Amino acid sequence: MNEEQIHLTADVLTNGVGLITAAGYINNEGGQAIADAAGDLMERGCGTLLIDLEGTRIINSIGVSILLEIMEKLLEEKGRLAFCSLTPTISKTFEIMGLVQYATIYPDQQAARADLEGHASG
Amino acid sequence: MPPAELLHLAELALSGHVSPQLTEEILRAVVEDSNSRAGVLRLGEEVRASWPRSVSRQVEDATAGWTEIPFGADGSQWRLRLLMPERLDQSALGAARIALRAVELRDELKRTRFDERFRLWELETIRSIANDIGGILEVDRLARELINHLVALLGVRSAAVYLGSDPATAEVVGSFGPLTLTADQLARAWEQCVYTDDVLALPLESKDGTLGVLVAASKEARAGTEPFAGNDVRVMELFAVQVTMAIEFARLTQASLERERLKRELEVAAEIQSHLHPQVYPEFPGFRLAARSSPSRQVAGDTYDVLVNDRWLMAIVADVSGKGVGAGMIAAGIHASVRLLSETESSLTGVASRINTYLVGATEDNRFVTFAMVRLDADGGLVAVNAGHCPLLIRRSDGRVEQIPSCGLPLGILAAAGYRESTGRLEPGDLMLLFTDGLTEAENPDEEEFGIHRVERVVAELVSPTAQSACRELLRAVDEHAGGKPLQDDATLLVVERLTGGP
Repeated sequence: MNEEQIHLTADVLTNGVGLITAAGYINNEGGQAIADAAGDLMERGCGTLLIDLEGTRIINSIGVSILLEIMEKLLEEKGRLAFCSLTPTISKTFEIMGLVQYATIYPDQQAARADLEGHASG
Repeated sequence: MPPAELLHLAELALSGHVSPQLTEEILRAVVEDSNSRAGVLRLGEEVRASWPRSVSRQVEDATAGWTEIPFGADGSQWRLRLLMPERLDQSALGAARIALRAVELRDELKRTRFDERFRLWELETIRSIANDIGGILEVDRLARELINHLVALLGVRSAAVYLGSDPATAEVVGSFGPLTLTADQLARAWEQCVYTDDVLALPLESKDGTLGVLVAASKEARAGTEPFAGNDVRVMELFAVQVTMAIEFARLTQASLERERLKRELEVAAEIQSHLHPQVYPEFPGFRLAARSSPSRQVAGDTYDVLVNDRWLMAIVADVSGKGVGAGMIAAGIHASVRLLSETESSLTGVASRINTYLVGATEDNRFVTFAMVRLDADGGLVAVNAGHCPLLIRRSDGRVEQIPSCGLPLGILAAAGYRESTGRLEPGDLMLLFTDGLTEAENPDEEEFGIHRVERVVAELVSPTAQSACRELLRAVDEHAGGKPLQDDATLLVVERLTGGP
């Protein structure tokens, strides 16, 4: 896989959960692609977004700032943001950059969906 | 009195609950309060809100009747433009001004926090190279990890690590994105930092010289790219120091592990070789044996062996040119060849010739083997072949010493070389000595060799002439001559003693 390009999928799951899988470099282009996908899922009624970063090993400061904006937008809408499948380096980056204060981090998609979809339905 | 809505928005802004839509809500409230047709709010040149939202730059430019109100305070850059306002309530404008200033300060605080965290991220990345990545020993994998960190930290679209002894032969060991460094830039970066708007390249300088070059290119901005800044150079410099240390550590550790591995292999080879030599001398009635062999390195180019059957005893000593593992492998081959050929070849010259033919075809031109072989029957009758080896010595029971000199070229030099057998007899009380030149060439501090004449003298002067005492006294004399210095060459000594009380 070419790591320099972002590869995205976006799906509406059950109970208002939107799933974005992102693999590749989260820079200005990759970050914007995630933001566009997030905006689209929110318009389709997803109040909770799960971003699966399996396959993503590099994120730069612009990518982080775009993710922070997505988080702000979701919080404004009383939504919820979650991430899963983070590399240790990205996990550390999110911790330092303050993303973990308002977003939930899950080890993998299975654990995230079990919690979020179950939580949303409850 | 300002309208309640504007006051509420100002309170919201001051309390820190700033939503992305707050600026637009403030503008809308001002437009409605002043009964304007439309409004635009700019921060510097950037349009931050328009009301109605349909008011574009083109609409703004094409419409007359705009009133611009400098809206800033305390150095703020806000500008409010209202289209045909019917009234301007100063207290409402004041409330809006306070709310916008709060928005601005909130943005500044957010940026400052982000920058503060980003500095922490920089430090953490530099630290992680020392702590985490520093444990990676494969240079290629290490380079890839470093590049990933550099790309993330500097926010660049491409980066690479070149390693090599000079820029002409340096290779990329890790990269991300398209390579943008020209050969000329690489050559310059080998000496000093190359710093342009789009490229930043630094030499990886160790105490032994430049290891390679670290390069980053195309720094990202929110839209597109932007020139590298001074802080980027500082970060790259820190990074280059850490990268150099990590790569040097990996290389030194790898070299150390490789040395350990080779040492272990040499120990195994030395052990295998030591087992080729007789551990217990085979019994041959009327004769007794003693031998000493000391390699100058772990694996020796000397070998010796003793074979017996019901008719004869055979003693062999060989010395492969050179030292170390290569010589040791050939010595092992000679050892095996003699054992196999002695079962089928009736003459010693036949054994020597066949080994010679094999070695000529199988070894490098500069490899050869000096070789001595003696076969003794139960009555002391002896046949010997000496192919370029030190003379074999017979120490008679009365102290006289006789030589069996070389009768041909060492093995492995010339395929057509011929060998001649010498014959003689070992009487009861006589000793036969086979040894390699490591013994005779042992030097004293004045670089004077021990020499064959000293060997003969020590042997002649033996008080109790047995195989054991001959070995012991000769090695003692050599050690004394060398002043306790380790021998420069492999040294082997094999002594056959015909017992006086034998059959």
